[in-house]
Amino acid sequence: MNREIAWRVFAGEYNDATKEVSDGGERSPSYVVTPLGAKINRLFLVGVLTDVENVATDASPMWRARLQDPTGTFHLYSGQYQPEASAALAKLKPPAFVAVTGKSRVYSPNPGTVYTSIRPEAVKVVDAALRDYWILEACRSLKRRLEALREAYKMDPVKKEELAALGVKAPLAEGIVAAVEHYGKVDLSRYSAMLAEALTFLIPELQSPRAGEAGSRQRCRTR
Amino acid sequence: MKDDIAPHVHDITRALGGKVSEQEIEKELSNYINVYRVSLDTAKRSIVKKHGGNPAHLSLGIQKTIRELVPGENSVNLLARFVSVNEKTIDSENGPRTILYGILGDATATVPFTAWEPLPLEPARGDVVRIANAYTKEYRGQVQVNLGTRTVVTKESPDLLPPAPAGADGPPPSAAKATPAKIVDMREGSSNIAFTARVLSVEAREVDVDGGKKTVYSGVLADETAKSQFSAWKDFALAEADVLRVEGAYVKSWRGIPQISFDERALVKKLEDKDLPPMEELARSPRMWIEDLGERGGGVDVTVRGILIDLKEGSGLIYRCPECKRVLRKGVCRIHGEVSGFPDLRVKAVLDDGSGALTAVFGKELTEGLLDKTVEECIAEAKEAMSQEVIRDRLADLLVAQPIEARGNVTSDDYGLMMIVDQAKILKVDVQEEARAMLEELEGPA
Repeated sequence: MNREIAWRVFAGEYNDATKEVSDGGERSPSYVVTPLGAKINRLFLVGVLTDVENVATDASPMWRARLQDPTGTFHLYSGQYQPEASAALAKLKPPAFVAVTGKSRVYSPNPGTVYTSIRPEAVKVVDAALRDYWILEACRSLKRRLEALREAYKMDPVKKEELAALGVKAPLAEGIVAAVEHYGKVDLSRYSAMLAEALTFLIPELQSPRAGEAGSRQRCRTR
Repeated sequence: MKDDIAPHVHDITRALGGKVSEQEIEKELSNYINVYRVSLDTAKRSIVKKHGGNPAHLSLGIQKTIRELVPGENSVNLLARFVSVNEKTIDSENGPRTILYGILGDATATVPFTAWEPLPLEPARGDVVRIANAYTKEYRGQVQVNLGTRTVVTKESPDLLPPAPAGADGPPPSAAKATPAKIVDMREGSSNIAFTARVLSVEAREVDVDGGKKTVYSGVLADETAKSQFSAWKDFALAEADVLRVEGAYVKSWRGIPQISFDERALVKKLEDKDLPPMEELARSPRMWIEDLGERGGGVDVTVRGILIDLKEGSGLIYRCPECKRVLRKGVCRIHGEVSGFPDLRVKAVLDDGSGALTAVFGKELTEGLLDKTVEECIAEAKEAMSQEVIRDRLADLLVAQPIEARGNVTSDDYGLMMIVDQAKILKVDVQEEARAMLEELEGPA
């Protein structure tokens, strides 16, 4: 019984997900599968908290928070069953660099509409250096999936065993098979652009003065 | 065919409590097998299910050889020999209980087994038994035979199977050529392997085996891929820094970590020093991904880089039982009751590298270093705050969401991987430099 991996995945990829899978069985965990085959039960994120709001009552609060990364926004919902995360969110004043571990969630208000969100387990204020380090880890993770997917798209049908033979590990290989089944072969250029953009975010001399969110990072005046 | 399936027809009828006639079952079973071509096992289970019965009541599996076993079989019948058998005590919901584990072998292969219930006989190495209604599972990529409540084990005459090897428990002797393996690829249960490695350390110690005393030479071996603990059950005059070629070794595991063993049946040759990289290079701790450690079951002296994403219960200032060193809860030891404990400091944290997670345990010295405080200072601080939790909170502030590099031994059990950390440092990464390198790679020649 191994602990679920904490995925480092960008909001841009996570929010594209519309597929939830479970390995069957009442108590088995559920996973959000992204178009690139990340099969996510738990996430570890670092981003900028842009707003926190109690969307329920004072007596029984439900905190909704938004966390921004270079590619998009994560939506967090924390209620009475997440006492530690809720207590931490209640005290936070945006903007702040925040690290979050949480569980993946999908919400489908009506057929055809699917929203992904995160139910935080732990929330902690961190610094810009850790945010940058997280972006680097998320880039590595995205790059690995893009490479595996390029190989997978050459196969028809996509097989776990063939992916394993190329050195793709079981969790990702399973995710890729589920992703191709649900999303088909998606346009990867969107995600390679996302990767390049996120890397650019980390390199000061490549940034335009207006790029990125407000933060403490030092910027160069010219491109 | 008809004669072959008769016992199974009977078995199905019995599992259904005689609700359905044997003729009908026979027709159905032969339909499944001859027309739909499903396996006998699946056919039997579906028929029982279809008639509202419980497939667990089937008692007659098909006798298989060990080589034929696949994970997830539910009524496995085997004729096998205990190649090794050991006892261990585990914690279960109903308190500690004793289980047996070891290796079973027949003429085709060997397989690890676990007996979760006491056996009606005292199994000894070399005994041949008939096993009915065992089940198989996959454990770390390998088939494992489980003996449970429904399993029946009966002793058979030892000459039904080829004899077991003499000497320390090991694989059956084989004329086959040893399979070459790198240390990083070795898995529990592999036998008759060949490898080249350098002795990083070795010492002799006396152990009790089967009532007698024996000298075992153990220590650490390394090749370019990994390190491994080893036990040599014969004096091969091994010395530190020797480069060895060993053929006919086997792999057991200790707390999930694969360990190399070899004895008088192995061929041990000393090679020239230049055949492997020097000591200093091999003694370095290899950097590994946690998913690879999970696949292997653990590792000796490995380095991982990840983020401490959660501080677990029992971190910080703790008190231990003076008798057994267990951690006290509210001054009470699980075994020795209310005792006056002695203080200790530790961190139990989840270290996750994005490929997998392990529980990292930092002992007293490391924790004192992280806090920049001694145990005594922590006790004073806790007294002042009137709570032991202040130390835990301080550690959470310091460590949660912190990227670190940790080095140590990684073991595994039912709760996953655990690293006893020897050395740890806060990870400093030049993010800009790495980002530039990755971007260049992307934009480089496609």
